[in-house]
Amino acid sequence: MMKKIGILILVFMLGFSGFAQTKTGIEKNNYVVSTSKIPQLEPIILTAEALKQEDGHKFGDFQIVLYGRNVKELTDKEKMSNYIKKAKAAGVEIKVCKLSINFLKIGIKDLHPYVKVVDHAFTHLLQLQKNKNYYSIEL
Amino acid sequence: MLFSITTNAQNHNPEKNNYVVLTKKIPQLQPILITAEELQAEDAHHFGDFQVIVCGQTVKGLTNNEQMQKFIQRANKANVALKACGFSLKKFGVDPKAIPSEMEVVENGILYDFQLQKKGYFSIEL
Repeated sequence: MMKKIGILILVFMLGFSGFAQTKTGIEKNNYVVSTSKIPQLEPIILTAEALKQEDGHKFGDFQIVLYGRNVKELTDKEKMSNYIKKAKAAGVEIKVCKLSINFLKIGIKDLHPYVKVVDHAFTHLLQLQKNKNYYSIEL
Repeated sequence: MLFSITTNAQNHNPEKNNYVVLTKKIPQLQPILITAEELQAEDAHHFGDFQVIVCGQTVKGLTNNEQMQKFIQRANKANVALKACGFSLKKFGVDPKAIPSEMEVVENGILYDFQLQKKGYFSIEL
């Protein structure tokens, strides 16, 4: 009898631990897209808008990481303000690689204040995947 | 109770490995298809789904029927689904009717890729 009760308890515990595992699935969905082409901002922001709608309250963070020579286009204030308006509305953060802006001798002041600098684009991407479980696409 | 547990276990679908590759270059289809064939052999009954999304300027090349047919045939054999990004077709002025009929057009390739990742697909971009 005691043995049977023991087995029952074990079965229940197994059942509950399984349940606990599925419950952790309530976490937010986070996304990162890296690209070296500034015009890609447009389809990426549209993607963020669609995911925000699809995920509802599960939508977490959406980052775009820019790197390479084309980041000089970020100093074009007029062009950028258009993208940034859309990015802000969609809750998308825009980051740029410090190595790239240093190489092109672009100062942080030359960038739109909404654009944040990360030390190294690829390290940042891998850290987001490693530590925070981001879904990622390198365009 | 034991009986119910075993039936439960049987109902549980053994996990499949699913893959998605997003590429901006049509010639990459060759190594991608080889990869799919190798993974299919490696995974055996765990091999689930393998999808390839073609994005960017390269979509212009999808209208080259001669070039595409050999990829389409190989993809069919390897159970690989080839998709074209609708945004890219539009941006580069490619008529969706001019690409191989075997290729499905997805509206936004980036979004589609993320949707598959959310379903647990392994992903790379080439």
